[in-house]
This record gives sequence, structure tokens and C-alpha cells, in this order.
Amino acid sequence: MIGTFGDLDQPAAVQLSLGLLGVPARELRSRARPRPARKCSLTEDCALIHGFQHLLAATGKSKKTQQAYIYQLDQLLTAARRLGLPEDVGLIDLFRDQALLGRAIIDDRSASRGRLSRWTLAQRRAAVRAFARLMAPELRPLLGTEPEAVVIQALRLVAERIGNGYRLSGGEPRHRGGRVPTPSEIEAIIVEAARAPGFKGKRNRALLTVLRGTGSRVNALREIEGHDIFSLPNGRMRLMLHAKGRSERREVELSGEASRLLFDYIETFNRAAGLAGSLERITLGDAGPVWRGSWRKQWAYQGVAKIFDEACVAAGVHAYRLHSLRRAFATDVESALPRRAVASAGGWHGLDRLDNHYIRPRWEHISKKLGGEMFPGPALEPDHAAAPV
Amino acid sequence: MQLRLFDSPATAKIPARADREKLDGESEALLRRYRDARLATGAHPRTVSREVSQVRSLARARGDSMPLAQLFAEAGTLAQALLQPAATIAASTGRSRLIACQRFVRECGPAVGIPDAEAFLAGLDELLPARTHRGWHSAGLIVAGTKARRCPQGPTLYPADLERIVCEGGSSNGARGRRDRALVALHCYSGLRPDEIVGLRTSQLVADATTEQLTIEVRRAGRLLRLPLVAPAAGPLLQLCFDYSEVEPCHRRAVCVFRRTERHDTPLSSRAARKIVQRACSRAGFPLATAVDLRAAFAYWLKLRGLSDHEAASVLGLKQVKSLDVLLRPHAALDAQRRAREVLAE
Repeated sequence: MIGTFGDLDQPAAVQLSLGLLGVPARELRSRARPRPARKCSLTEDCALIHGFQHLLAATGKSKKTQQAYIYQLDQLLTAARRLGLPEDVGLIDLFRDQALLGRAIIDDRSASRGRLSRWTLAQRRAAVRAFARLMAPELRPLLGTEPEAVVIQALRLVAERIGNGYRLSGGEPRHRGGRVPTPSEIEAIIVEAARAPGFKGKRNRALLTVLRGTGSRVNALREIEGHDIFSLPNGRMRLMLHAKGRSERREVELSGEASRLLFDYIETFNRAAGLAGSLERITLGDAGPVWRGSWRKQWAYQGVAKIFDEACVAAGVHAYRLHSLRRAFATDVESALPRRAVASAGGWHGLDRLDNHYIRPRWEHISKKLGGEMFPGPALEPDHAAAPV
Repeated sequence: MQLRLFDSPATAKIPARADREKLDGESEALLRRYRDARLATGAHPRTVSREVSQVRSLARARGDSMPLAQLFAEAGTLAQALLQPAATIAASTGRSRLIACQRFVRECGPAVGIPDAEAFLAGLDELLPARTHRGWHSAGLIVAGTKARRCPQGPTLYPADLERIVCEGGSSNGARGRRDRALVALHCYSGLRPDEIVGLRTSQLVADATTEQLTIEVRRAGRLLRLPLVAPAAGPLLQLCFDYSEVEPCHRRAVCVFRRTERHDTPLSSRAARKIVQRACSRAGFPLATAVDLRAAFAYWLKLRGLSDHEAASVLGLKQVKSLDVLLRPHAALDAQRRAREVLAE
């Protein structure tokens, strides 16, 4: 158990305490998107890829999506070469061989890990379809046919025929959520995270409290700027957060406690910056990151995750992931409110994802509601012990 | 030292907006010809003016302006201009540009060297990417444009905020103050749209003889609607109308309600009205509030008074009830958050 945390560069004392507590360790995963180790294999298709990227930008795709699509096309070519495509040919030749194109799209072997997830393959499929669609004027004369029809045919060749449609197999099924911290565990984590010296303690406390109270996504909250925060005449604060997959921002109102913590953090940061001789300030209503990792720079996701991991270790709880705070929000609120209200409060588009991946009913809630109607039997395991990790 | 805007000498000549927007003489002549042809076919003048503006923007897509004859010489050049604008544009702008250039080719094709307009447009379709489509009516063409919101989003307003905004509407007790207060009150507490408010005439105000309630008659998309006026809006509006009746002869009933000055029957411009509303919103602490935000807050106000969805939609003059859901979506989310906070606090 200690060995599994060895790669995290934890101090020996922390590792020892982990071992003594017997806290189950989670599987270590790299947080960053894997980058192709060798040189990009798309050099021969450079002009096409350049045009594709330009069109993605012109049609409003974000920088992250552009990078992900280019990366997926590169991985597609790598997969095709593994399946027999010669090294000296490129994307056009791959599009000419529909069977190979289909097999390359659903090829879930990974160089670094065992199998790619279905989500990764879905993104690869979306990238190929977008490429065929947007580059159709250029691809049409080269292929002699409609490029999107080529992709559809390639997918049908490798898909399973079911009813009046097709179903793609391949890819590791997505995990259905994970363990959910209890309110007392969250409180303990926040207390530990707030022990950091200087403005960082206040920052950690404010961010984790807002995450806990609003169920927001970490990156949506982390990336807000001063002009995304509104201090209303009634004293409340509202944040305009990026809503994943939507053009409009999601409006989130903070509780009185969370507003106070956020104000505290901003005041402490500005005072500390003044004392340190830095000209940087966090100003509500102005541009500039709110959550700072240093005087000038925005707090990086890796930094937030590191703080959270360390707080979990210090609090002696399971090594939860940051996203588990969103699961905790969904679980706790769903216990008292209808699911549609939970989806509306937390910014879920529909109920499927919320039901399957976020809500993990707590045994305490169930037993409390059933009260005296419970059949007296052996003590049951806590809910999260039965949940898949 | 690098010059900043406020450092520029007073004598430096900044080109007028009109000069910057114009193309070369030949292209402008073509655009005039196009405008006349479109107006002759019965197109709405505002639509034609927007199309002309979009064609001009296409000619400037590469940074510096290009003569229209050169832009329309090859379908490839036009496709490039449609797909690669000089700056990020909205999806609706991209679509408007495509429509404008299609209409321009049909009307003025021979003048820019296009003998067969339909063949040229078919060639243009071939050069543009397209998405798969189901209906016969959709070509599925893709042009540049993002669906992301361009203007900053303000916080959702509640009825208490409306009261605060109306209080800030007109600070003075003079005629102008009363006019501004009535204007802001109508934006906040009626189903009228900003252009309908600006163009409101006294003849549109109807008092029901039996119920003694005030309604406003408006025509929307060929339908005559009678929108009830609630007390917070009716009060300032009636006060304004009484003021006019003191200075106007009784027989002149169809006068503008919102005028530039008290004694002249020139209606207030939309821009001036927007400024008045924005000023009131800013004073109340909501600098980013728009007319739609005020309308959404009024819809929430109606719901709080127990009106059903259909009843609230009829007060707002909405054609489809589901438009009310769109207006009230932010309120529903914030209410849900409030309930969630209460649950978590327990």
C-alpha cells in the first residue's frame, strides 16, 4: 500500500500514516492528457490538418477541442499503422480503405495503458467525422466520393447490426462514478486544506467550500475571472461559470458563508500582495484570475488536485478525487429534493448522467428515513464500500 | 514612447465611420443597384440594409477591402471569405452573410461577371463543407460562426431588483423624469418589447369599461394582442399621459407617449430609450441587465402571483408557452440552488 503512493513524492511520515490507517489507495492515474511521445505522424497531411484546425476555430470550437481533435487524428493514424497501414502513407489513403478506417477508429489498444475507454473512442469518432465534414471540399476530389459517407460506411463495417441500427463495440466501459465522501469527511478535508500558510489557506478553504456548496466543476470554478463575479445589492454573490457543452454561462449563487470566505480570501491575497511588494490584485468586476497559484498566475488544476490529495491524506480519509465533491453534492441534495431539481441546481443537462454516475445513495439517509420500519439484522456495510471504484 | 489613445494629438484625423465602411466606387455603385433591385421586389428596407452591410463585410474579410467584382469572380474566393472571416463572428452573422451573397449573386450576378447565377451558387455549395441532414429543406451548409455568447452575461433579476430599477428610473420630478420613470416601468412590468414601448401611442391604451383595467393593444406578426397593464407600470404611464393632456388639445389622441421633448410629438429613438433603461439598471447595481432580463424578471413576478404558465404567457404576449420556460430557466436553476443550500445546511 505504501508502495503505491511512492510515486507521489509523499513524505515518509505521510506514507507511514497511510499504511497505519489502512486507508485504501486509489489507482494512480496521470491527470494530464497523454501526448504523443514521438514526432506527430501527420506531417504529410500538414496542409489538410492546418485547414481543419482553421475551420474548427472559425466554427467556434474551443482551443481544447481543436487540440483534442488533432491529437485523435494522430492516434487514428498510429492505430491504422499498427493494423497494417504502411508508414509512408497518410490520412487520404486511410480514408480510401474503409475497412481499415473503421478498425482504426474502434482500435482500443493503448501504448501507455491497457485499453482505451469508450469515451476516448467516441472522441476519436467525433474527430474523424468532423474532419470528413469540414474538409469535404478538399477530400471529395481526392476520394471521388462524399467523405462523410465514407466514414459512415467504415463505421457500419465494424459495428454490430442490432434492430434497425448499428452499435459499436470496443473500448473499456466507463466507470459509473466513484466513492462519495460523507459530509464529515468533506469537513475534515476542508479543515486540513485550510491549514496552509498565508493566503493559500483561505484560498483552499473558499474554493473547496464553494465546490461543496454548489456542486460546480473544478475547472469551471478555477477559471473564473474577476468580471465573472457579481456582488448584488442584497449582499449575495453570484458567479458566472463556464457550463460544459453550453454556449451560455451557468449562474451560481453563493451562500452567505461561501461569499464571506471568498471575500476573506480576496482581501487576504490583496493585503499579502501589497506587503510582498507585488502590484497584483484581485478585483471584482475586472479581468484577471481569481484563484491564484502565485501572485500572478492562475491556480493550475494540478495544484488544486495536489492540495486536495494532501488534505485527504492529512485528514486520514480515502484518497478521493476532486470530482467526488460534485458527486457528494448530487447525493446529499437528491436525498431531499427531486432529481430534476438536483439537475437544475448542479447544472446537469439531463438525468441519465446524474443517475448513473453521480448519485450514490447513502446508507445513513435510507436508514434514517425508514426509521423503525427497518428489519433488525446484521450491520450492513457503508454504502461507499460497495460502490465500484 | 508608444502612443496611447489619450496621447494622440487633437489634430490627428480619425477617419469617420462612414468613410471606413465604404468600398471602392464601383463596388458601392453595385451595392446601390442591388439595394434598388431588392427594394423594388418588396423586400423590407431594414433587411436590405443588413444584406448590403454583410456583403461589405465579406469584401473586407481578408483584412483590407476587396472590390466586389474580384470577390465574386470565383466561387473559391467567396467560399474562403465565408469560411475565414477577419474576426470571430456569431453563427447567425455567418448565416446572414451566406444569404446576402446568394441574393446578391441572383440580383447582380451579370454585373460582376456571373452569367449563370444558379450554376455559380451550386459551385459555391460544393466548396463549402456540409453536415448530414435529414429534411429536404436543409442543405446543411457550414460557414464560419460560433454559437458561443458574445456579450457578457449579467446576473438574473428578481422582482425586488425590478422595484429598485424602477425607483432609479427617473430621478427628477420634471417632465423628463416622469417620462423616464414610465419608460423604465413599462420595460420592467409589461409584456411589451422595447421597440413597441418606444413606438407606443396614446390610442393604443384601452381602458376596459367593465373591469376598469388598462390594457395596451399591439400588433405582433399580424396578430392584434391586448396586453394587460399591471399597477406598477400603469401608474407612471397614466401620470405621463395626464401631463400630455394638459398641454395637448383633447382631440389629438394618437400622440406618441415617449417623446424627445414634452411639447414636440417626435418619438424617442430606440437608442435613447435603451440608454435610459441602462442608466436606471446601472444605478440600481445591474450594469449588464438587458430588456430580456427585465422581461424574465417580470415573468417570474407573474408566476409568484400564482399565474399559470399559459396565463403568464398571455400577459407577456408570447406566442408559444415554452418561450416562458426559456425566460424562467435561470430563475428555476437559482431556486433549485437555494433549496439545495437549505438541504446541505441542515
